[in-house]
Amino acid sequence: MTRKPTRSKKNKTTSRKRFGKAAKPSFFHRFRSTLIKLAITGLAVLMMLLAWVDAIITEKFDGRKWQIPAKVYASPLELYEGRQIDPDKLQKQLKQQGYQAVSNVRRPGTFSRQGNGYVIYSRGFHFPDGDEEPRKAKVRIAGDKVTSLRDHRGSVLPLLRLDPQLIGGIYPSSYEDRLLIRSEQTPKYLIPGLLAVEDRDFYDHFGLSVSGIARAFWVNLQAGGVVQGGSTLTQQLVKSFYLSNERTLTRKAKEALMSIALDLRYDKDEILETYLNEIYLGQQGRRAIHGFGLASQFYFSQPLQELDLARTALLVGIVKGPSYYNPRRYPQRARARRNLVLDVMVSEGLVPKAEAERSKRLPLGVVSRAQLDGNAFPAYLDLVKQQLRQDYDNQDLTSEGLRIFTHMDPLLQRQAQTSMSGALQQLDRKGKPRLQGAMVVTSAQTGDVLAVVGDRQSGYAGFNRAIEARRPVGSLLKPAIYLTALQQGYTLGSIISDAPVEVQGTKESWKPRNYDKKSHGNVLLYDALLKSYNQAAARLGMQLGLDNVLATFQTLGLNASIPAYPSVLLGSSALSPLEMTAMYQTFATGGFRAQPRAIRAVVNAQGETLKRYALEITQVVADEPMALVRHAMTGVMKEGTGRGVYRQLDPAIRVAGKTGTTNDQRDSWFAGFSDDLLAVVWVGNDDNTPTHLTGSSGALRVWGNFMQRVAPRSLHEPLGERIRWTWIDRSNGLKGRKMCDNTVRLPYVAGTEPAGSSRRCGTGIRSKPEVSPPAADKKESLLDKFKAWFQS
Amino acid sequence: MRLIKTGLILMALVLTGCASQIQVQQADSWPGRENIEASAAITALVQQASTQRQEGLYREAIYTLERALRIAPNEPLIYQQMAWTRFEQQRLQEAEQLARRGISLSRSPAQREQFEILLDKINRDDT
Repeated sequence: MTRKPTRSKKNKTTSRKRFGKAAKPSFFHRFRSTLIKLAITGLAVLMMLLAWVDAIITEKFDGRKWQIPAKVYASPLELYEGRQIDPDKLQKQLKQQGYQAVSNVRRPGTFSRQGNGYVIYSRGFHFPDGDEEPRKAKVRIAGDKVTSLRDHRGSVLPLLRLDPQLIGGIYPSSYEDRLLIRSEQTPKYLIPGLLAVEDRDFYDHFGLSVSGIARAFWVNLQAGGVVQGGSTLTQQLVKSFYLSNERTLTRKAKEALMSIALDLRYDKDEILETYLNEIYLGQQGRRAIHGFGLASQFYFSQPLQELDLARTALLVGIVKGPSYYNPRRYPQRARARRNLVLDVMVSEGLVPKAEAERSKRLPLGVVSRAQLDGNAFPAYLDLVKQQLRQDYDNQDLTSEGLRIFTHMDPLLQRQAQTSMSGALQQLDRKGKPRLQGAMVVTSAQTGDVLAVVGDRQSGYAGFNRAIEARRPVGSLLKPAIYLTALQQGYTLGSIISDAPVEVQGTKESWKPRNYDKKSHGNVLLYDALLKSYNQAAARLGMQLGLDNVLATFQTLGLNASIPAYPSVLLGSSALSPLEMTAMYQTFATGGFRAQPRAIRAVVNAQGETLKRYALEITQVVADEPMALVRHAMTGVMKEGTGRGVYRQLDPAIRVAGKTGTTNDQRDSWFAGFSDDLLAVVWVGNDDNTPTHLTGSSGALRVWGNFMQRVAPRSLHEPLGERIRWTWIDRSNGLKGRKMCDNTVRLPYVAGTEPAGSSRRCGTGIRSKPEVSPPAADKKESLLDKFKAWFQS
Repeated sequence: MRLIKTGLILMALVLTGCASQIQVQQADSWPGRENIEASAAITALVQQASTQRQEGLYREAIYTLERALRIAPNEPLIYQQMAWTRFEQQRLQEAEQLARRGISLSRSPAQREQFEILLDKINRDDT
């Protein structure tokens, strides 16, 4: 079929040839001026084309080449004598940050461990407060505490600050991510190896390489498959940097033209450095991994300059096909490719054969997907983004290469997540939906947010319950009611009524009931909080004035607008764990408001600090009422609704908190703090169906599990010159005796103690102490014992 | 052992010239019992902050003190240093609040007194 036209064409050509021969002078003569015109036009078009290509090239190459997503860092691990740390968790953290275990520690990013003794060579890092130099240190740990920290000369080292763990980025919609590096920051073999494999004539060609194409053809023919590509690095760069992925001739021509133009205009080294940062090297979900700097983190969790020969060779090998040679998915293939790269390096005389052979026997060294995911903390990142957006627009965050330093503590974050996942697994019931949970952990004294858990599953990047889930909070607001009372002159020993209560509303009346459906008559204010009596709290709240209680909510840091319905006293308002954290922060700090802060500082690409988020505190509640309500909250844990926690926690550790349960047990809450940590936990079902849990049997279990893992610092007893301790008869609020039944030792502000003494115990009731005697009261207790003995 | 340690810290503070600004407190009140084991780290950071402050690097000084707070969140001395830094920056409201926080964490009348002196100064500057 194709023959016919070919033959006719041939015929035509011959006839034209013959004809042409005869008419040549006149033809040339006739068309000379047209040809010249055509040539000039062609030249002009070519020049315009080059100018156009040049404009395209320079526009992108001269300006800022990439949009660099902001990088978010955790709080750095600091080691010092007295630091509490489990030696195994330390090792895990080091590995997570790509520190290599070696037998002889000689360079940054390595460590060795013998029993509970470590030698760590930290990496240097540019922090917002200055440079931290790499440092080699000896660390001894005993009983989960650092007992000795020495530098390489054996002198005492006060502190060892590691480089902070990278915990994520804020990506543009393209999800293209990279970590910029300079050529000098590459490991020894990277550039020579890359050139040997991808473009041997790089420094000699003009953007295209004819011999390269020929060689690739020959090599591929010999190997029986595609081993080398014919494209130069310049072409690869042009393709990735400027052009789409289509495979057309026009695109190929454009690529060639632009490569030549690029080579003409720019220095080879500049082109190479751009290539190193531009090239696509892997994929993590939607996130595209570009450049060797990020690829090194992505595959090895190590900075690029720390890579050994084998790992360098693997990266060079991956260039050819990041998905085909994906070392996580196709380790065999990737290994073969890496070893081939090593062979090429030997044949080019770059490395001695023996070293290459040794490297060939090494494992790939790629960190597992699980470990990589272990570096992702989407729930915490959500909070970082939320707080950043108050000061920066999205464009800056996704393109300016900002570095964000946060308060996140990777060790605590992992423990919080483990506690959540573990405890919920125990609480799940067969045939019922899997429970969900959220948790926020802050530093009790300063409000630094240390951990955020937004889902029971670690690494889940979706609906973030810690920030977005607003659920009724139940009794979590009660401490604010009692604080209002203490501010208005009530004492912990004031008698309040827990009788049935009815509040008249505009349409219907509100009749809250106690959880146990019983009324408890007259009770101490202290006991009403301990036992979380609803009737007492509702009546007291209404007596104090709803507006006053709402004002206290606000004073404590609850910024959400809460409608002035009586039912809010018992927590009908839906709030998020983060919002509850802000409120409980003020209890934890002893009356000082400190906003939960995730971010420490923002640094620009040049290393200059743009903004610091320093500690800002404001006293909003006077010391004394705060000390009293905090004491009542420790009572909740000791003998109230939170007492179950001491099945998990050492009873010597004083903690304070409050449980919350909502109607039909849909939500289980717990908020509580030690001297150093505050944690707020919510447990429930996403579809808002009832659970089988109260605050005590649900959220508190998660909280206790977490606290028991992190060994919190004990709270102090209320201190202060004006605090007086008195034994109180629980049945009437009068002064009682320690040896009597049903008494409790309570703190009072001087002058507010009850005047009268209870006569109940003096009438011959033999009694035993309800509260374990504190050491300070030995004398009094002996005397009391004596009296009691006499009286009985 | 503890006595030796506290003695050393006191000496370190005096030697580094913190005494003039911080008004070194009685040996028995610094650092607090829970922080004694970490005293080398806290002292190093407090000294570093003091140097930064003397060089006018207030932002860095505060950052350093926050590092110290992370180690010893209830140590009044750190709040005292922070309050002084803010005072020197003439950020008086912040200085006052930090001093108040320090008082609430103080464990002895002597410690509280140090803060009262600072509060007095702040109030005088404020008017």
